[in-house]
Amino acid sequence: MSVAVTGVAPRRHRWRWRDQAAVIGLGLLALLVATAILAPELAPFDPTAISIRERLRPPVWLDGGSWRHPFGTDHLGRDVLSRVIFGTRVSLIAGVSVVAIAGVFGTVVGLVAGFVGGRFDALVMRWVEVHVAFPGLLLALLIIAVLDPSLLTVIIALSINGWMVFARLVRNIVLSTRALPYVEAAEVIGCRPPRVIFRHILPNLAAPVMTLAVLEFARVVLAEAALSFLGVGIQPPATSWGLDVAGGRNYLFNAWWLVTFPGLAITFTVLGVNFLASWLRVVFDPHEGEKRFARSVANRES
Amino acid sequence: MNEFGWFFVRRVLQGAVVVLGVTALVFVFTRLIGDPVAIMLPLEATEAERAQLRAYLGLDRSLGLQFLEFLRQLTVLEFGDSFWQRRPNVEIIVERLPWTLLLVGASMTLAVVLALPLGTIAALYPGRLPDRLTSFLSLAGLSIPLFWLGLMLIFLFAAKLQWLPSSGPGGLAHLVLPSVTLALPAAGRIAMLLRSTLIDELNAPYVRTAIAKGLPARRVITVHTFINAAVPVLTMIGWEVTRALAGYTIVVETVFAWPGLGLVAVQAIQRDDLVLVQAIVFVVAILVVAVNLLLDVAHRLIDPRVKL
Repeated sequence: MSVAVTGVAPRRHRWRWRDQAAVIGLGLLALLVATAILAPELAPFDPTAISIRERLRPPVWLDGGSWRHPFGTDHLGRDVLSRVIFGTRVSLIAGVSVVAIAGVFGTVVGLVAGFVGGRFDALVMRWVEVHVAFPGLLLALLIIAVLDPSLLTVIIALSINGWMVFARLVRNIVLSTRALPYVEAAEVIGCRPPRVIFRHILPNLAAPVMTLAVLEFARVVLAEAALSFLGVGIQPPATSWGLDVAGGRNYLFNAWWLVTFPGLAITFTVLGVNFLASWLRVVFDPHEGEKRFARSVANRES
Repeated sequence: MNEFGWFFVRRVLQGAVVVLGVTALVFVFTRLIGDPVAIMLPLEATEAERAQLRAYLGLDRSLGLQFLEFLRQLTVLEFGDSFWQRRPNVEIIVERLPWTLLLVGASMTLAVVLALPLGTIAALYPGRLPDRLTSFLSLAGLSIPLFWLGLMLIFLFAAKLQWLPSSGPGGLAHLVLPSVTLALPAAGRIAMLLRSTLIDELNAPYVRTAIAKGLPARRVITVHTFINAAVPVLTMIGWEVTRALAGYTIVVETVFAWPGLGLVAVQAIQRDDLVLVQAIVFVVAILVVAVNLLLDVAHRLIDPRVKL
């Protein structure tokens, strides 16, 4: 059980597995983006086209299924595959917008709080504490109860819930980098605050903020799906994976494919993002990398 | 008062600040962003009806007064009446809260019971089956949407195998699927954390010393490393409990028609019953703060070095 790292050992299986995970993650995400952009070309049908005569057709490999509807049709005869394809758009738009809004706002607040310090910092951090202590979904529900449910409302609610983690992370990094000799040196020789912030502090933020952004993207995709499932997110006739799962719920016992395929789409999307995030963490954090390396050596020896 | 007493008082005060903050947040969202009267009354309501409701809710007074009144009502647990159910909100909450607590209690117990052996074995034999299972569970727990996991479990165990009832309140059999749905992802996350903490602890010098001294490995693992691993794991369990209370139960209760606070919150939102939603948010906030407080105290008792 002891760890003795002596000399330079070749990178072992643990590393290679991690890298494979990154490739899978990136692959899944690339597929997602391509699907979202090319949705009208890829989808065999209009996702909202109703055809009562063709309702509740099973997927192609079951009795009664055909290649016309590879994933079957729902209770209104809409093509499940086309709806899954178009659903990528909502997830992607919600994820990217929330991460952009919350990330930029949180980073700015964190930068200012960390740099200015004093009363502003204390106030912001207390607020962040309150907000983090009270986790999200219920608050998002409240916001949506006040505003009308729509994609925009979902983005607003999830952004309000998401900026604090960025602010806290950035503020802590600013505080620790500011104490480093090279930043002190820059301040001593008379660099103005903007130069210190943008030139000397900001580059240190890139890696951790990016890792957090990827993780937050996963959270947002899941949250949008949950809100839409509860009926307070995306509203019909728009298409969303969460909404489709909710719609197929009543047919679970005789038409399982309505719930299964959109759910799988959510799972694989979030899985891809999580693979990517865990790889980014190792790549950007030398300490974490060392730990993994030590562990892989330990595994080999035991 | 001794040091521990002061620590406790300080944490209670900090908790009060959090509850006050959440209350302010709720107040801002419901009064400033939206117009409760417009949300609660139908479009064809007359101007007189609107004014009447406004006066009833106290919305004709200044914002400062409104906030003070809002605080006063909350401190005496006077939550007003539900528009939707036509009865006091306190009654609804008292009726539904035990169901939510039962669900969270059962699922978190199950999660811990699953996670402890899984995480320990995974740490002791890295790369073996329990380790893989732990990694798989935690990754799945991070990626599978809860509502979908619940529906898939219903499909498998209620529709196909017909072993368990699909939804609704009832006896022990009704509790199984919802608590398993809540427990599985939580168990994965707790086991994963326990695994990595234990691996770090097992590599620490004090373990080597203890073993070199001749202590049996079992004793070193159960007594020495477990106590050190307890702090982060307890924090994680507390985190899971608060997440479950303030988020996950809403989804799981909706999937399984479990008559808890989460289900009633969603129904209240669909019926535009803002006052009831407010009351629920406030009660959940207090629960979350209470769990965090308990956690801090436990943390302090386990690890006397903690200064907060």
